[in-house]
Amino acid sequence: MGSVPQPILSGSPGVDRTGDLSGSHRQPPELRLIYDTAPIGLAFLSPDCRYLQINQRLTEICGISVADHIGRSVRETVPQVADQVEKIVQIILSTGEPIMGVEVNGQRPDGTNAERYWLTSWHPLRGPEGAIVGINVVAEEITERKRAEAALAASETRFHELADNVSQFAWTADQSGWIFWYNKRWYDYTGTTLEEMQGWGWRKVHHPDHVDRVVRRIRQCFESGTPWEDTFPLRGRDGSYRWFLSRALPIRNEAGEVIRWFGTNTDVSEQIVAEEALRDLNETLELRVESESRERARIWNVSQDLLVVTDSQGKFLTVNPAWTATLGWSEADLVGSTSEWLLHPDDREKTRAELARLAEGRRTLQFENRLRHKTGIFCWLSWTAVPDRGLIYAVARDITALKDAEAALQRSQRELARTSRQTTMGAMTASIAHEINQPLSAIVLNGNAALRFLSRPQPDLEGARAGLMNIVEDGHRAGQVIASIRAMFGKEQITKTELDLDELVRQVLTMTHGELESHRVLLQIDLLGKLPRVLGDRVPLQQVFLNLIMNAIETMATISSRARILSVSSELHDTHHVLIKMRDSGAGIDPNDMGRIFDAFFTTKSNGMGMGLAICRSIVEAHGGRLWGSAAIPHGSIFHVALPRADTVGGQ
Amino acid sequence: MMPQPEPQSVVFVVDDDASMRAAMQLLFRSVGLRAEVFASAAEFLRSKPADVPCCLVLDVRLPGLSGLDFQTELAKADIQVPIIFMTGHGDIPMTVKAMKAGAIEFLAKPFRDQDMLDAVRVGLERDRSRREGEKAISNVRSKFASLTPREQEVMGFVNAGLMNKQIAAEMQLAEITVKLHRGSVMRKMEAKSLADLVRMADIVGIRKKT
Repeated sequence: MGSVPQPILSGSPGVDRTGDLSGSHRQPPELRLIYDTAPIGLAFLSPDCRYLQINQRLTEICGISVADHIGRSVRETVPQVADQVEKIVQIILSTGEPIMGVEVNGQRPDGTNAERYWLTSWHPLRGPEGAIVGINVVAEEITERKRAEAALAASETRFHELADNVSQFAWTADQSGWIFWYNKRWYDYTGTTLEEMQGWGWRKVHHPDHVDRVVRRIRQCFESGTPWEDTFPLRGRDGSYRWFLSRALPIRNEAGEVIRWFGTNTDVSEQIVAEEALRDLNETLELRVESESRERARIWNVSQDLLVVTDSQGKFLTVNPAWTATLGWSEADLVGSTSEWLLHPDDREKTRAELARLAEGRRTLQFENRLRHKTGIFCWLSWTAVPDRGLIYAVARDITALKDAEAALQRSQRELARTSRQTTMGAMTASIAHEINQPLSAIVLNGNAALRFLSRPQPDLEGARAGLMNIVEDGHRAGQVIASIRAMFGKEQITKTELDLDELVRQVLTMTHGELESHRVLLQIDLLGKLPRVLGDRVPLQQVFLNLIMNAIETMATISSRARILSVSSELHDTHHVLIKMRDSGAGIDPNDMGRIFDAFFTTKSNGMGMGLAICRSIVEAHGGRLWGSAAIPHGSIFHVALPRADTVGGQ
Repeated sequence: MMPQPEPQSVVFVVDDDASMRAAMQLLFRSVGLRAEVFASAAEFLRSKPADVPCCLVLDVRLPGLSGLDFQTELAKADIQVPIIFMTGHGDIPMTVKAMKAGAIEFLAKPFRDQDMLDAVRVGLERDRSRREGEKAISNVRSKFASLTPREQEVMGFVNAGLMNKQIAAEMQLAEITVKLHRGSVMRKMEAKSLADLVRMADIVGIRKKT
């Protein structure tokens, strides 16, 4: 071992004193101990880079013992650092200045080849002549520190890579909330710089409507050290805003003091839009459901039609207000019972039948009945109803006015038919009357003239004769008029075709239906329907039956003590004729008059012309038939119309 | 012999019914009235009735022109003849219409002969007095026409109530000349008095000179 250089322990005086560079043995043992056990590497190199001294710690670089180092060169012992060491030594030798804080690195010789680092300081030691006699080396291994630094740098890099590449914005602020760092995303989005944004500069990219709230709340969090969360719009570089969910957490040291804040902003525009859309949708749905039910309720309430839900037995479960409006009964009156108690007696049976049909699952499409109004009058209702799952949903419409109008129409139709019949008959009788009137008037005048001629002081017989002759002529003329009336309905005027007499009578009965009804005449029809056809002229025969029916109605009009019944029947009269019988329950015909009723101008009516039956008989006889009357037992009379069958040649 | 109350008058009967025509003719003959009968209005118009007091008995229902229409036509042509209507089927509106148009009577067939004769008598009387009135007027007019212009002028002043002296001054004539004209007027007009002359002046419509 060489001498230990003094400066290592006590500075230059030792060197000055001995000048011996290798005299370690002169080293006090305690210093030697310190030297050997120091946690830093120590060495004393000669200017040609040989170890003059080295401590235990430094030998660990190469694993060679202390003793083996002495006198040997750096290149021999630790060739991997030799270049660096030699260069440093060279610089010191040329400058004479110490070099501090130089990093030296090299691989471990143990085969792991792990890199090791040392932070070294180099101090030249001068001899008495001032020449550099050696260099003191202090080497502190900083491999661990370097590793930690590298790890930290890598961690920082990884953090920034991560922070710059996450989809969120990220930032950090100091404990006061002063933001000093934003990630790249932030700048990419906002198009700003750190200068603009640092501290509280971020307010620039906030929406004016939100910024005050955001500042207020984040300030509270910064002050209280509580986590922060808010959602607000941020302006992008294109000027448009997007919504961000933003959070910040305090980073605390071990003492629990806030040292930093770490914040993120997450773009939630899509969620917001989706949320809004969903909310809108929900609201719309709610509104729709609500408005639909409101609409239905309104329909139920404002409907003019009567709406009712009943059970399968027809018991009312709910009714709408139209019931009260139309019939006067309250909901409480109606619910809980069937309509039975309101029904018109005549409608009960058919209503029960209709309910039974509904109970079988069939719909009611058209059904009319009458329900009693609270005032006692009956209202006509027209129903539609649907059975569904044990309930009946029914709608009724008040058709009373319609029915009244219908009845009025029927009345006016009857009136019209009657008027036109009267007009026809009236015109015909007026025309006949005029024809008869002329000769009649002439007869009266001629008679009077003749009387005047005779009543002169000198009777003018010639004049009287002229008058009488005129009268004779007039009489003949009147006869001719009657003959021509008969001729009017005579055979020449009739166009015969084959007719179904039953059908023809039915038609006439239809025409007179209104008249029969308004006079409360009950009609009993017994038409065989399979009788042989007759030969006849439809229109005049219709006139005949029309006349007979009207006479029957008229004759029964005064009857109130018994039913007014018109019976119409058909039968085969004999081999050649079909017979229609019309029987009334009227006052009947005096047996004395029976032979005369078919005479012209004979009438038992106060306002009759006495032509109807005469004309009827003319018509029937022109058909080769017969018309006669007989008394009915116990009341009324029967008129018989026999007409020849079409299938018997020529008839009777 | 037979009473001839209306020797110059005639009753026209228009009826399309032959027996009625014959009966009517005989009825009027039985009371000494002359009757002329026609089967239609056209037939009546074609005849040249004598200019004597007359009346017309019309059946309402006539072939062609009806009785009521015929009445209207006559009024339009200013033929003033009293009309009596007959009808086989008289109704009130028709009657009212006919009476309003000046008919004497409206008789429904068969009517009482006396009713017809009374109506005809009224008609003839009305026609006679109408005719007499017309005759008097035309008589006065022809007499007035026979006056000289001077005499007509004098008559006008007389009618206006002027004295002879005043008339002379008006006409720048001697009073004696006026007196002569005036005498001539009275004679030619066959005036029995001054009042009579004034009445005739009114009939001819002389304007009163003042």
